[in-house]
Amino acid sequence: MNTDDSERRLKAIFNELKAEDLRRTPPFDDIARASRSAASSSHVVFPRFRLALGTTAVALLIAGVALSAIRLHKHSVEKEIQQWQAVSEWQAPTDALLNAQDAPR
Amino acid sequence: MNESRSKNDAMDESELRMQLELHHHASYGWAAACCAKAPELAEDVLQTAYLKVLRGLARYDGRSTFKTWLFGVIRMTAVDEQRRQWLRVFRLSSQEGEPEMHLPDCGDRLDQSARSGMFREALARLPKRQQEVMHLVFYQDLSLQEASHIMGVSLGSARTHYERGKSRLRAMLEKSEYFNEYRR
Repeated sequence: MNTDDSERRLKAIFNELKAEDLRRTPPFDDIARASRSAASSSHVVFPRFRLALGTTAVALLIAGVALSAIRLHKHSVEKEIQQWQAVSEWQAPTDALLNAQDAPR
Repeated sequence: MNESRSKNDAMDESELRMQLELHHHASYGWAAACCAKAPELAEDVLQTAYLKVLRGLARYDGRSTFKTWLFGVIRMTAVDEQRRQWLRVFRLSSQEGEPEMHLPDCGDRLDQSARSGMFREALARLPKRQQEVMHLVFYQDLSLQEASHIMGVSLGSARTHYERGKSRLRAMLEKSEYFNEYRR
């Protein structure tokens, strides 16, 4: 069986399948009507809903992370201020000696 | 505005419907070929594909012929539909412990001749890409270039699938006595 020959034979069988399919193809109007009636509740619309849901979840996650980062930052600034306040108010126990009248010079 | 925008605007629903109707038989054949392992899905696939086209979820940009573009939409829809079907079967089998996969056999197709039934079975046993290219070239009379566009592969790759598919089907034809009349 050469190439041209086999192509011709395959073509003949495929034509047979095509004729068979032609007989059982549902009418266009039936499919189009079913498409239209399915439009309101179709799963084709569903991906949009899923996309919206996914986007909302990601947005919420980002907002949560951002909020906790801000809180953490605020907390660390407050802590730093407290530390500096403690340092500035700190007095050495020997400070009194510097003011003593009879301190050796 | 760009070309795709003007093409979309130009194609209103009635024109889209007209185009879909024009290619309806070919589209059904292609949908059935895309669902070779579950032919009962072909109508659902076609319905969903038409819905995508008519509602503008899939937009024709005029870069290829309408038929080539539509076949691409049908192919993607069939992939989605079959994935959904497998998930459904997987869930059922994990719930019940027994797989309920429906595999077509000759007994399911009493309306078909034994020969075409056998040929469909043989075709369904080819790797997916080979099935697709054989269908597009021999059934739909498309060029390899158009077939490669629909399948989303390069022309070289489509040619390789075509040659491999052809030689496997040829081997099957040579072995089976059902196809004797084609040897003349």
